[in-house]
Amino acid sequence: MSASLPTAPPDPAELARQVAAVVAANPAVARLDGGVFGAVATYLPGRRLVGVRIGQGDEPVEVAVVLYADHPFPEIVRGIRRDVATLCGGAAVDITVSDVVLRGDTGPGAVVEIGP
Amino acid sequence: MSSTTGTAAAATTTTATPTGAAGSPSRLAEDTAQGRTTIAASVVQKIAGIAAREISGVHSMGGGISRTFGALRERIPGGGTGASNVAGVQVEVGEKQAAVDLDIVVEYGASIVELARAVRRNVISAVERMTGLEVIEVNIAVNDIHLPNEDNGGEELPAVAVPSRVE
Repeated sequence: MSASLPTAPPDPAELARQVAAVVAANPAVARLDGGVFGAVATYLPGRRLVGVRIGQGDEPVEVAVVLYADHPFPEIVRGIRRDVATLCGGAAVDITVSDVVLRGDTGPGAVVEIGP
Repeated sequence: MSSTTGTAAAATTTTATPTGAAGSPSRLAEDTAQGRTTIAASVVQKIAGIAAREISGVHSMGGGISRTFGALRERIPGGGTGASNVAGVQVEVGEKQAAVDLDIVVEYGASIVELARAVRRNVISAVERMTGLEVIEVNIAVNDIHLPNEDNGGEELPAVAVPSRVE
């Protein structure tokens, strides 16, 4: 937290959009997800941005993701946290891995069939 | 095993908040100052299920009851996506540790002791490597044994037997 927080980000909605873009750009992230109850979301005019919630004040930034099951999560999560914290001026970032999919599966809740 | 739980218990008694339990090899909880990382139970369940099925000799997963619940759960929207993959896998996930219970059906001819050992090893390594959680135990229940002729005979017999019964 040595980096001072010069200005609070002007617009939480814009920040949420940027965070979503950065997280979704991570190659290990399959998609953003709403978390356990779909509570991790930002309400924007006209739509709901699922998977990112910018906390107010000292609250952490929440991110919920579905990851591809081919890399260890700790380093992926570390990378996401670093990217998001940079964007949000060093705020705490809570990350939820709410599901995994194998590469090649498409769509939410893709069923992974292995064996007979 | 007992030493790690001992340190975790000591850490919780000394500090009210679980602030990373200094000294314990927690790979996930190390960064609590920058935010928490939560891994959903269904994630661990899926990884454990995939890892268990990778071992040849495991015919399928699930016992009578868990198969029934798995089939039931598949029909509930959002009630466990990919339920066919997690049938026979129950998990408990904490902040740093996970416990896994497996119900498996083995192929006839496999050494069950060796198979269970291989399944346990693969599940532990997969879950620990992927999630960074420490797997404290993997309990394996072998619910059934699958005979090789069940696949072939099971489909042909009724076709022959059915017409001859009633006229």
